[in-house]
Amino acid sequence: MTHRMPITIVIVIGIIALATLLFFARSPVLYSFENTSAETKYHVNTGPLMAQPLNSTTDVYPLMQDLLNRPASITLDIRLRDPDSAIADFVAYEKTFGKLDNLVINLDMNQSEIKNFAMSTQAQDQILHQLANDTATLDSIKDLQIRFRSSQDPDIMISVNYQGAALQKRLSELYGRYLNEHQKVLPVSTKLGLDTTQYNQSTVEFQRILREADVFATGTGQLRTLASGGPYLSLAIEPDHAVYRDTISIVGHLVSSENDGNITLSMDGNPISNFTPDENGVYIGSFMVERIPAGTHSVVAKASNITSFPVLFTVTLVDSTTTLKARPDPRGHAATCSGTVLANRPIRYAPFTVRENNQTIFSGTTDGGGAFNVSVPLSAGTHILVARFDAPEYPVNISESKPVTVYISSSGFSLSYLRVPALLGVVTAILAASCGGAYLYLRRKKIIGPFMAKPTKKPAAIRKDQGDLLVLPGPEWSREAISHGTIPEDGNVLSRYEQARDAQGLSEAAYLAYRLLTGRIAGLRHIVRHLTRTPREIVHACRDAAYEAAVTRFVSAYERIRYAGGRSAGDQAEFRESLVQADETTGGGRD
Amino acid sequence: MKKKIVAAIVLTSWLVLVTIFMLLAESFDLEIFFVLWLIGILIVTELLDAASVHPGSMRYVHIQIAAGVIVFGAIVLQKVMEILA
Repeated sequence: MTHRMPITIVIVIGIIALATLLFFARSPVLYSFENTSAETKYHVNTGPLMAQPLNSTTDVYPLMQDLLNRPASITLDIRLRDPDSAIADFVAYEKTFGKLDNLVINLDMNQSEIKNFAMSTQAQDQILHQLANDTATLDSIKDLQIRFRSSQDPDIMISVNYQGAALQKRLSELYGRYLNEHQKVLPVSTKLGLDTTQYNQSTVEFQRILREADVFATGTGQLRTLASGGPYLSLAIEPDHAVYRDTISIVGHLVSSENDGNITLSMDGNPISNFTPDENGVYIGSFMVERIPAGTHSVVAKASNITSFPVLFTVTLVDSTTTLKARPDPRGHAATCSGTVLANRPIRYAPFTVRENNQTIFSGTTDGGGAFNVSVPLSAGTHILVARFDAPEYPVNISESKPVTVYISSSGFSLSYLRVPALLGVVTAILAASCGGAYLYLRRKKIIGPFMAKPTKKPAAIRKDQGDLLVLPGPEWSREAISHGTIPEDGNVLSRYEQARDAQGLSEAAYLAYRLLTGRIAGLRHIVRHLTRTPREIVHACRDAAYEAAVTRFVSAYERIRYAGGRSAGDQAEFRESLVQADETTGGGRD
Repeated sequence: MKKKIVAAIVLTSWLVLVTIFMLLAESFDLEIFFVLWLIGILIVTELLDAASVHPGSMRYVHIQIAAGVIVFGAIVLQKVMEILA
């Protein structure tokens, strides 16, 4: 392998990684919603991940201009009675506002004029929504006016006109609020150089809508005169068709000398709400369709001495969905059942039952969000449970959950009583195991085979010259060489090494020196069968000894000569020097 | 080629392989990535580490592994708590 090979490998790996990333470059969705589970409470709110943040102040002006242009279109739609276009404009308006609001947060412009601009446009959005609703009510009142004009019943006409007058008053107040916000938005827009032509047009359209209701305001005085003939109480509701949790708007007028300031609204003979009329006798309110059965209902308003004509409205049935999850209760012999009851909206405070084999075993009530979480007592064994919503007093169809199987242990033993200690135990055990594992890993000693012989008793004193006694017989050549007198048997290690080098060569002389030294070390460190050990294992055996560094150096020089074929003068000098040092530090003397 | 370079290449290759598979699965999980890194470095270190030779750099690798074991314990603890919660 050449020296360029590592670089080549890294480059190839990098190219492969980049090529793989290329597949995701067009749609870089690493955390797709499909593949990301949201099982924990930390992942339930994934909505913010969908947000597309804008991070430049240059993105602000187009959004502001769009917000300025939109009200004119909305007011025109409302005036022309085009609800579809109005809804589309409202959606676009709110979407643009959402972007601007995000941008204000992202760019930390909470104290700026743009933030005030955003707040004013949001207020105008609410005003325009109210305008759309009031315009629909205005149309209803106009219809009533046309319907009863031919009846020649002055009481009904007076009631209708007073309702119109009340609405006209509310529209006037609405226009005042709109102008107030308009005055706040206009200076900011002009300062930033935005086009406010269309924005100003929205006030013109608003005024035109307001003029449509003026007919009621001008007739109020005459109607009051007409009404002085006798007491009367009127009532109108909007809309006349509703579903669960729709809000019904109520408006009416009371003229009576015996007015005690309290009007009771009744449906099918049952009181549902109370109202107090203003100084003109007009009362406005609303109620929500909740615990009202489906069908047509009669609503009347009652004062102390007078009752309005009954007004009919219809409540339509909607379908519902009930869900159920069940798991054994840790307290034993019970199941924790949770779920929801939903219709077009969550059915709040609704009765539900948990059933098994078509028998009700538990009854309860949902919370304010249409959810429930209850403990149902059960015997030991397997149970198939179903949650059911069946309440005829609600305008909602019956629904049942899918069957859920739950197994209750016969022992009834529960860990709930041991929950806290068990949790603490688990936490402690895991932390202790991980910390202990880390400690043991750092402190471990790598052992290869039965290296160090553990002395069973105190060894007898070993003389320096006994080192060689432990040396196993070497190759035949050395024994022959010694017997023929070519390898000196006497002298110190260095002199024997030099004589052997001249006689047998450098490598063999190095081996002789190594054997002499390791024999001595084996005696000092109680190493058995030391010639079966590698030089590095001998070094390892010298750990913590005073001569460890010297032996390490010697072994390094020895390996260069014996294994790496070192023959240079430098290698020889290093070997000789390290040999002298190792010889001295391990005791020296005659071997 | 030096052992250190071989070890670095092997570990890098292992992590790139893990990353590629996670990207292909469109599910990049940092916890799994960390655990696989720990396994990789444990294997590489075990093969690299000799009984008698102790380069200075190996000490830092061992400290990293010890810290990794503690983090691994924290991950296990988090998973256990999620199950028990």
